[in-house]
Amino acid sequence: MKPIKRIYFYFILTWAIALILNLKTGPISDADLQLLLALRLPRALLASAVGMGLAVAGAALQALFTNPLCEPYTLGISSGSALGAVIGLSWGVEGIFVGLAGPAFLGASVFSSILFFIAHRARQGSSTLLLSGVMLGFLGSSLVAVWMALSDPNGIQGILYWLLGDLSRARLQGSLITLITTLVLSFFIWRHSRAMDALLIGEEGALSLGISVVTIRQRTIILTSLLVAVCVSSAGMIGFVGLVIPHFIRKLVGSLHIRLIPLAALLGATTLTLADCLSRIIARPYELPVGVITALLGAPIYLWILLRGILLPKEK
Amino acid sequence: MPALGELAAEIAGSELNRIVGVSEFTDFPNELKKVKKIGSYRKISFEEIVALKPDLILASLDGNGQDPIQHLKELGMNVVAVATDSFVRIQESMRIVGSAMGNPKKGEYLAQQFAKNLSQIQERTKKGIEGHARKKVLIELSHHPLIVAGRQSFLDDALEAIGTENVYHDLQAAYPRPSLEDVISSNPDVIVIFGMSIPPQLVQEMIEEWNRFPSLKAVQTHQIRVIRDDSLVRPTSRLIHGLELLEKAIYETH
Repeated sequence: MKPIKRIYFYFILTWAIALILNLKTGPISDADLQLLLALRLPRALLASAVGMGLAVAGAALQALFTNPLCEPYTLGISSGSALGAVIGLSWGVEGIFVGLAGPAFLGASVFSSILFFIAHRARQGSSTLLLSGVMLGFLGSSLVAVWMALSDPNGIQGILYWLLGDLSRARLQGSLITLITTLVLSFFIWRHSRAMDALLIGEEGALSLGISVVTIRQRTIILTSLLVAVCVSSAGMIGFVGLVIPHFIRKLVGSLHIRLIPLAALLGATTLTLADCLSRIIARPYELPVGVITALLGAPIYLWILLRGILLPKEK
Repeated sequence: MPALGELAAEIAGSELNRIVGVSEFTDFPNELKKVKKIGSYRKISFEEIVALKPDLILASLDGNGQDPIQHLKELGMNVVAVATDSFVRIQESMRIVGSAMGNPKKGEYLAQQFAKNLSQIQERTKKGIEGHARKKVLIELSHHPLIVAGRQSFLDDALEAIGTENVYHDLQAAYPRPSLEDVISSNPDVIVIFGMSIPPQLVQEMIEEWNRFPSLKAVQTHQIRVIRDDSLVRPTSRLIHGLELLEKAIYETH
């Protein structure tokens, strides 16, 4: 077997193991098939879908902004998406899953467009973009708080929980729809692999390869916004999956997107599925929002990536 | 807390004008609806309270942290705080508020009435369940997130008083939020939904959510009950009426 094929094989295998573990973990030790179908399978599928979506969105954003520290959560795009969803919710858009994806997409695309506008003007690789993202995130969260204070207090507790990243409301139908949508969107992003490689070389390099940078950027923004919207509207704001996963894959196979995207998708799915297991058993009989788990694990890694440049002598 | 307004009104009797401010959602007796609101228990307005120049502030220790009470004391207010997280403490609170309002006899009377009515209910239900196993009951206050009654809520005493057992008696919290799967594994015989402040349509959805799990005993035996009367969430004399409703809801057969 060629090494890359072997990597794919192992990644699919670990995902399968994570799924089985997820189905096996929980307070009910002798869960029957009916319970598995009603309770755990939807969660395992949703965790996979969202983990996959976030990892792919992270990888795409990193190419779009040519900055390896980009991801939907830290750039505030998740927050914009949540804002859209909350506004949609208070205007009577029904259903945590499919219905909310529309307004969530609007929120996500407004925020990513603002970011793109900023990135266009800021120096490459500068921290302006990241800081702007953090500020946009604050802005989004504050507006969510304002909206929640002004609208009907019924259900606010539920929204707060969902904002922290919550998979516990998963239903089979919604999870399947989310999974399929994520796969389709990820596939479209993957088809732009070559173009995204070109973005990393820079605008002139891309042009010389016959790739229209403007078109590619517009498409990537729309696709990632859609992807983030699907993830956020079904599971709330889950951070750091989109950052850590592509980072790890790049270390493993390099930064060619044709491999990076599918491997990040697989590892993202595995990671969130395992994080969901943890969230269920770590504080029994309580359950932690899965976003708390990913933040607890992801934030230190993010810090390490940030500070590595300062603490260690420069690489290369 | 609405319950403290009720208790104060009972002690004050006909002199209801002694109550100059109440918390939001205070609706019993009816006259208190017109009294100045000083905020909800989560967000009280210190300025409104000080502006009313009360001789006495009654505060609840349930749900409130110590901080607002300390703050009011620092502002020079006369604060009396009571806890109502168990039946014993509810009776104590009647005596304490009675004395604080200058009517200890009334407080003592209310406490004794409460004890008397309570033991009547206890004896009645004890007879009713003789020879049967005690039912395991889940009290559900919200579904998203799932909030239930735990040991440190007076509702735990309420379930015990009517000869049933709280499935979350072992959780050292007033209103814990266990995971859905944990509730399913605890498999209660009866699920009582508190629908006081929840729109009817949402309550219906909550019932449907449980019906997704046919392995639950409460679903198999159709023992998902809804209580809408707010007397069961007011730890005052009215709670006795609430206990009767709870008893009816749990033991009635369809």
